[in-house]
Amino acid sequence: MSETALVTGAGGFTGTKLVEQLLGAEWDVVATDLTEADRGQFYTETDNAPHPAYDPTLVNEHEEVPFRTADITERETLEPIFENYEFDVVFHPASLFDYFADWDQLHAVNVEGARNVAELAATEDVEQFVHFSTLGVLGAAGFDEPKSEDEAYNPHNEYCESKVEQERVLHSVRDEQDLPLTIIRPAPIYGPGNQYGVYHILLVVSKLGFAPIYRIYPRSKQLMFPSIHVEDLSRIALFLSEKRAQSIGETYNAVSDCINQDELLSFLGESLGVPRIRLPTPYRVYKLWSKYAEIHSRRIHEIAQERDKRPKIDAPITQYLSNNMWYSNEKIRELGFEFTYRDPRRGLWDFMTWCKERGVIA
Amino acid sequence: MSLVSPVDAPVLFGCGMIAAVIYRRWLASRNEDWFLFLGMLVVGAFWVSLFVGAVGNLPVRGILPVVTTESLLLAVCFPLAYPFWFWIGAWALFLLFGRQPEQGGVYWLYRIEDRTEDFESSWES
Repeated sequence: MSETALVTGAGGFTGTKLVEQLLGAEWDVVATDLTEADRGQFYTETDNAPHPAYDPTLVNEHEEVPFRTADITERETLEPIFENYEFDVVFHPASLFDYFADWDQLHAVNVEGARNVAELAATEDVEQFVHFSTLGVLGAAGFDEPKSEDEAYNPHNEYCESKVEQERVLHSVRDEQDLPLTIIRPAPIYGPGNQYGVYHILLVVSKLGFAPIYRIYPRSKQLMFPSIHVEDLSRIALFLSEKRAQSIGETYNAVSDCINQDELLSFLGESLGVPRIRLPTPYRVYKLWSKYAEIHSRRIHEIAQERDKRPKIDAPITQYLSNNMWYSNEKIRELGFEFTYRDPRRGLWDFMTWCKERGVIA
Repeated sequence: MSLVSPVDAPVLFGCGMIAAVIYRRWLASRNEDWFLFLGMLVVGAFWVSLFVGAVGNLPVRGILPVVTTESLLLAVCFPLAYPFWFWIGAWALFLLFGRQPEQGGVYWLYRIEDRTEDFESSWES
């Protein structure tokens, strides 16, 4: 007998791919999300630049899947869904992933919204609640070893702070109402459909017209690039629900093998057909430069906000330049998961092709 | 006899930048070889005028070439380095503003508005 799943945020980038993955595994899926019009109240939409994380064409793509409109910040809109269906697993990728959003919005969607879904799932005795957090809750790693799941929280921007609060709320629901909780912490997600986050790295290299390859010396001080292909992420969610006996109560990093940032830029330069400029740089000089880039992008971000526009690059994205975002995927691999795109360069190649075909990068 | 025209290096640098602007705005989307053609045209013109000016003692470009008997090596290497000055000027502009109309170079990072959006990708056009 097939199992039934509820997927929140089903109109978003991850939610859509997760629905496809579950349908492929012959699950019965109920999808929920806001209507396109209602999303405007949460996402920073401006005249010239709608928020790119949401592609309206993704909504209602799957006609065979019941789509129930609901707003996770309003519990009463979710209740009829739980009354009409019996779910084995609730997948909760719904989130406000917008570095431009203010704290009140982030808190309403990411913290209170997650509480609403989790409490209803606990009340209805679902077998598993699979929650999508972010690796950003762990913050930067040192240079000796990657960060694993059991490290302390160290968020570096408001979005990640909201995800920390979200995890804490879910832990409290787990403790108080026996929520069978599994947390996935994805690295920055890329893949066909993505136009926010990893996409911006491709965009910058493409728009610069050259790939600046910072070769940091000493070579022991390498900054890493974490990422996960959306297909691998949705496969991980499905895998953990199939292994729920082992995965309930656990947290898993969802990240391909991290590669050096200079390897990444070299690959992007070559793939995008732009000249690669190698810049051997002492670590201290690089830190100074990246600090300047952070300050500069924050200033651009502020000016854009004053003019009610979106910056081309949201300031928190540049934090990936100055911090070593190095995370371990050992725990999920030890459970038996095999990545399709373990080397992110394979997945990025496909992603670049998708971007070029749609003209979203030159 | 050797000849050196000391202002040629900065002038070629400037010519490289101007040629890069022309190439980027109007020629890149037609044929990427245009940059090489422009370079050959400009550098060739400098070589010819330098030679004619030195041999005929004429201010072909408004300035008489400096005639020197000090260093044959300098006199040979200096004109041979003309393509380099042209190329480095063009590269400076490409880094700042991009090589194709749809690119923005380093300047793109400093602007709120994206003025490159209206240009079609070169590989598509």
